[in-house]
Amino acid sequence: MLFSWQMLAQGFAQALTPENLLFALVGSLVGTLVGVLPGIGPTSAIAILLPLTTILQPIPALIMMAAIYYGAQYGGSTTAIMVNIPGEASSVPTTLDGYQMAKKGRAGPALAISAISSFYAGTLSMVGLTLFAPLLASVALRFGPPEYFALMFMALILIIGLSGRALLKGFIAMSMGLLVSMIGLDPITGSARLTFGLVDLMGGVNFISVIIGLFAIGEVLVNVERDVEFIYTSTIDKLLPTWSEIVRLLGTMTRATGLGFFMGLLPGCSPAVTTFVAYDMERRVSQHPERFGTGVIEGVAAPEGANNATSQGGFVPLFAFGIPAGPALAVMLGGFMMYGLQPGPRLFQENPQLVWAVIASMYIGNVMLLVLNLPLVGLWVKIALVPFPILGPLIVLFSVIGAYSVRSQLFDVWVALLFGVIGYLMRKFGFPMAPMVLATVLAQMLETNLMQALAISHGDYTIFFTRPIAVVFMLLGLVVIVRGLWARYRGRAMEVADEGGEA
Amino acid sequence: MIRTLRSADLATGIFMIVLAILTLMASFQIEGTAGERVHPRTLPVILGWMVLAGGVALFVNAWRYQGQPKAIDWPDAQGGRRVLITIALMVVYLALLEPLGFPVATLLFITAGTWFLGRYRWWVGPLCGLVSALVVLFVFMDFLELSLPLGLLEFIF
Repeated sequence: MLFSWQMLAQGFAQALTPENLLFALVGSLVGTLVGVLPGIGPTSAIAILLPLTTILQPIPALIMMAAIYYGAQYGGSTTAIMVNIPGEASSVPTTLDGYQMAKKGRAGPALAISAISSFYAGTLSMVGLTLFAPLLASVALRFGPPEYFALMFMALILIIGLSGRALLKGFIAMSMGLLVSMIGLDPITGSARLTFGLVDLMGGVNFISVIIGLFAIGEVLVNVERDVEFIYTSTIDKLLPTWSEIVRLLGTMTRATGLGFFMGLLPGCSPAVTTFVAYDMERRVSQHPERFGTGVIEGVAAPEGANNATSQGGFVPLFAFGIPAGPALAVMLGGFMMYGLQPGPRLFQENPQLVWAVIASMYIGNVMLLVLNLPLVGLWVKIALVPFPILGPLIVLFSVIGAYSVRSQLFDVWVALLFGVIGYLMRKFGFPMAPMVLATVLAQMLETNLMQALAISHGDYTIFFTRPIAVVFMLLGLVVIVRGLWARYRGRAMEVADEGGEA
Repeated sequence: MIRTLRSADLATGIFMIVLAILTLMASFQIEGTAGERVHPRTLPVILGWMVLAGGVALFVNAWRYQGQPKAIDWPDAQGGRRVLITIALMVVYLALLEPLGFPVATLLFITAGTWFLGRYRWWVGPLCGLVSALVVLFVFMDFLELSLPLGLLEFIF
């Protein structure tokens, strides 16, 4: 099951139908919008919209979800450059030089290079996704339940190890996510678990409500306390950078793409992480590192390229193994599951039209986003200035509709509100949210594979250490744990990125 | 009042320990069926122990911490009041969703929320509320055919 031009051509034929083009456009617009607006990110947006898309066929719905995700990476830079407000955590490095460029009257070239770098990295990464995903999927076909359990174990450990400085808090967040998912009826025997006799808990806690609460409502509460206000200061005159600048930046964009794409393959390496790494790498290779932070165009091109490369690289493990690299892709995985689809190697075999249509739509979406972002930048900036007192209640409204629509139960909305408060407290107490989200979404698959593996081994847990592929994943996970504990012991706990960011 | 990360970790550690004990007690009451290879309580029990271990480790780490206290970034009194009132508004909104229906409850919530957070001119809140209620009614319920409770409007539509 390797890459085939024929399948890709069929994917383009599907993606280019008027209906699918329309939903790619809607997704790109919504993605750019949520990227621009600081109060809401791609994870919340996809989680809120997910239940509403069930009226659509799977292909247009998933095309739209994917476009929201990578579209948000484009939108986040606009406010970062124009008003020094990163729409997403991943846009923070862009503010360092982007806003300085804007203050020097070079907002136009900064915005243009941001869009061009995003497009360049996004398109190159799509080529990587097109080639790598089917290749890895063919490897994953050899996986049985023990290998899948070990892979998910490693993914969860990696996301704890790489998503923030608090290893122990990441472990607790992951355990809580898994625990919440255990509530309800046992998927195999039907026994009631952790319901404490409450009928509402019999149906379990829906992960969409948990994610909407943690991200959308939690973020509203944070913004409410800050009394957010936006001031529009920069103006745009000349839009395009010079041709020599674009040629000079090819190296920067290519480096950022390579770094972002390959780091994006790892669970836990969200764009919020790789943009910082790409910015730092570019500063190190520069002949004038002291100029970074004063408005150099490389300081915009590098993080923006890495941003898009990571977001598109994250689709490789999602499509090949069914493992999401971050919270937003975990919600995407939930979207597949809502349609009864299981991302992974069998998806390439059983639903090739769907996979290739979504992949092809991403090439098209990248072009759409370039077209949308360059001429419409003034409009996006104006939208970003919608005052939070109007935006905040609307985010709550959409969250309530999203949570209610999953199962038409008010209970799910109360769950979202409860997790909104928990998300607010987690931000305050320094708990990372990504491990909790990933655990909530992966819990069912993790449990099913654990049970099936133990059934194969007649209850012998050493099965995870006696099969070659499984043992590699388990050992990698254990190495990450030991490395984290060692770093903590040595007082050099990794400080990779800000915890609160959504990606 | 929890003011430092150390006290937050102590409190969270105790909460986790209590939660883990409750989880373990509830997990051991999960009934299995004869002949199954893996008992349905297996994973809840493992998770109960994991939460217990995490809670104990968090508590002990915080207890032994002797560095500079790190303050939690709580809002000031006004910000705290805004957070609490916003949560209260959401609770009232959810409580009214079924009796009044989505459109009417949304009208009230958006009006109150916009007025409370923004203090705009008197007509801005009701206008936002009305537009939102109409969007809920005609876009979500009518066009997208979502089955949201109509409440009071059941007699009209």
